[in-house]
Amino acid sequence: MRPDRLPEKLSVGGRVFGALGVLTAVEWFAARWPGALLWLTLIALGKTALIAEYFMHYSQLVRPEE
Amino acid sequence: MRVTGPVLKGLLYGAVGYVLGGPVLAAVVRAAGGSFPFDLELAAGSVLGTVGWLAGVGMWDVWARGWFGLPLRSWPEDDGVARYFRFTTDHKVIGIQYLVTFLGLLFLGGALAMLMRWELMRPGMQLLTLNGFNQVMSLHGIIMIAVAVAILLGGLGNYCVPLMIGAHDMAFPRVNALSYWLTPPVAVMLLASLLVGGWDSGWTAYPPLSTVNAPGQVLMIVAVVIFGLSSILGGINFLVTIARMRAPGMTWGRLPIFVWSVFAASLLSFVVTQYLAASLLMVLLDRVAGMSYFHFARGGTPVVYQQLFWFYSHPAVYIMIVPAFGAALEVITHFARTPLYAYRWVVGAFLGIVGLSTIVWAHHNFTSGMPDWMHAPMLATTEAISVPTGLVFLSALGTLLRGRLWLRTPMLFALAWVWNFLIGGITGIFNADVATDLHLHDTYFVVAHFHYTIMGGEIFALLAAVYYWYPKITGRMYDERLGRLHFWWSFLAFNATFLPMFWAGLHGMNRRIADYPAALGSVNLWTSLAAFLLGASFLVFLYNFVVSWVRGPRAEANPWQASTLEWQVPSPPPVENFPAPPAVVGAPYVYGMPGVRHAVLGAAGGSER
Amino acid sequence: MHPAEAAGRLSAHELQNARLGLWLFIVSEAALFSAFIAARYLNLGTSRPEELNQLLGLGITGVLLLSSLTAYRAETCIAHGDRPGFLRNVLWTVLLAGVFLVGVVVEWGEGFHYFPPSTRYGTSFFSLTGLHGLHVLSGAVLLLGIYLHGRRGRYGPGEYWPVEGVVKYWHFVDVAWVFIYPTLYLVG
Ligand SMILES: [Cu+2]
Repeated sequence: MRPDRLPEKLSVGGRVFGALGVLTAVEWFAARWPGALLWLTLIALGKTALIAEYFMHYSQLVRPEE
Repeated sequence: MRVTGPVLKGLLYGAVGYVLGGPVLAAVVRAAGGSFPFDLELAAGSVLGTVGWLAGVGMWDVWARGWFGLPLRSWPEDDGVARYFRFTTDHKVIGIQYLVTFLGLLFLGGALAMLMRWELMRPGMQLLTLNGFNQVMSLHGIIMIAVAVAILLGGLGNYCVPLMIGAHDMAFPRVNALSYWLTPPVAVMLLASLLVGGWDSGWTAYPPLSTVNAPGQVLMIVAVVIFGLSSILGGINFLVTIARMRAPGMTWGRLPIFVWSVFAASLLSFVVTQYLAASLLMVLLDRVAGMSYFHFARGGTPVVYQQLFWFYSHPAVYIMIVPAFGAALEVITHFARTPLYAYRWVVGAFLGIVGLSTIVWAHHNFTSGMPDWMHAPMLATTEAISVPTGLVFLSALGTLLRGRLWLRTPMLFALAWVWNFLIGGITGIFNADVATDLHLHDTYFVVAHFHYTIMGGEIFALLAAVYYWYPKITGRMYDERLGRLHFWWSFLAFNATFLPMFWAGLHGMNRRIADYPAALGSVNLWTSLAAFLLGASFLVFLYNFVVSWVRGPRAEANPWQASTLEWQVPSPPPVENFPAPPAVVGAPYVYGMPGVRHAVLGAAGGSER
Repeated sequence: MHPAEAAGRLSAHELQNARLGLWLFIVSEAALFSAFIAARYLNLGTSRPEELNQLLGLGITGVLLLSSLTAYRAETCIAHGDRPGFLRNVLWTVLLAGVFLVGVVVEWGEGFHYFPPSTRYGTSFFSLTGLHGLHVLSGAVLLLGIYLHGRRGRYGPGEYWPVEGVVKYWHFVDVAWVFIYPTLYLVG
């Protein structure tokens, strides 16, 4: 882990946060679409995947080097 | 003081915690003009009391001080009998703690059963009041459920799994100690519930009754939730231990079958136990926060409780029975002196049971008014479980047929398991079929069925395993003659007790009742007499267990000439088990294969082969 | 106890054990939340009162998402040896947790008026937000703990498991809300 990679890593977090924000906005409208429950579930699963992979480093479990 | 100090300190801190969290908090809130129901006082007091107990018994000293940057204190690892009465992290100590505690609870639950059988011996009331019978029945149920969940996993699982995979301990030794020390408060709360009216809703605690009955129900709920936490932490510990602490060369395909069974049961318990906690917490919220999950008058839906509750409590029977499968197969293969027949199929069957058991829960609700469309799928999935359980069975039979049987006490109990579980399994089909279950639901047919699976299946397998590992754990040999006496006595008395119950159930004997029509008098008299004999047979076991531990002849490292790792170290094994990690080089059961080995121990190994 | 553990440092093997154990604990916790979410649908389907404060709901959702970002930044900073950045971000996370809890308290005040706990919706609303709030509270306490330890010079690149563990737990608290928010505010 070289210190010079820190800004790069931090900007990954910013982008993930942006994506989560966009999904939350979509969610707000999806609640009124037909089949809302399905869409809301899919969006929530998408958010979970983003958080689990980028914030919680899920892949560390398989590749400890991350 | 050296021995009893931590427990006394735990009791003191626990009492202080209870008083602060219960009566004192309630008095403060009431003085400030707020409302604080007695139910809430009991719940808050018991939670804080449990925290105090844990701190006092040693968790503060050996663990929690570190969270605050304080230096940890520790006890000497090798401190004789005192180790068993404090927050000790050695998995072998914890295994013995579990085993002895839950054997004690097994006897207590058994004594309650004797009380019920005394009451049921004749029509009319002899000994108990109607409400007293309900309390005894509820207490018997929940204590035995706790025993069935914890005794094999917590006791023999903790003791044997690290040894069998060649590890020095569990992955999280302090969490392991926490899992154990959470259980004494559970027992205390269950018994203390009798002081505040007990509870009369059985171990299932169905609402709406459980939302309005005596405050004892609250203690039962808190106790079961804490017990659930203990079994979740234990499950996670087993999963990480088995996944990551195996010795070099101990591949998944070389794991002894008991280890696989503990893995499968843990895979179930660490997830589904939360549903038990959730359903009981909802009952608690109805009681203390005026919510309307199940409270009928407020528009709650009691059937929802049954869905959530059985989403845990059906898989729970597999949390109980799968380790029993593993233990019985382990004993059978060692005493048939032949490799386990269809090992891979059994592993697949265990994992299949894990998957299937989460989609069968509503077979308990055929008569409860759940939606009709759920009946057929639940019937089908339930009956599908007989495929993996059948595989386990065929493996046992195949091993027996190919081997040369060595009929020592452990093997006798394992054979009894085959018979008992066969009957338990076949009679399950009638409860899974909607058409027959509508008639059999809530009768003694069901009581007989689940006692054949859990007592006849699990407890008999447990006894097989206890006799099998007794010399390893205690370093002493049990008395073989008394062992055989216990076997024949308990096996015959068990069947004499529970076979007639099928008949009684078919003829309309309802479960959970204190009285019954006079026409059912003779079958109940017979059942009660047989039950007393069954209870008495356990005194033989108790005598053998205690006296042999004190005075039995010293056991060798490997009295059964068994091939798995736990037998290759001294009896009892030293702290940290192996001087160096053993190298595993082959399958676990190498019988009838000259020159083939399961493992090679380091130069300093304790093998006496 | 092993020497590395006694010194508060984990070997690579122990670190992976701890990670797997924490993940399993999180899966187990998720099952607990899923039971309460299931009870919401089983008890009252997708019906929802009109009086919910939608703006407040969306607001605290955003706050919690933002706190996940600061938690991520805190962990990343300490992994790269940036202690001041770590401390700053942990403090931000605790602050956002506080804002979230204040939001919940305000919403509870309104809820007691429009849909008290004895109603069917109130039952699910108060128990889900309450259960989640307890997790937020415990997460905030843990974050405060690693802040205090961090200020005394603990943790650094390669030895920050307590930070990693607490941050993972915090992200999980966020994930739980990802499901609770639509369940309480959006469906129906
Ligand atoms: Cu079942």
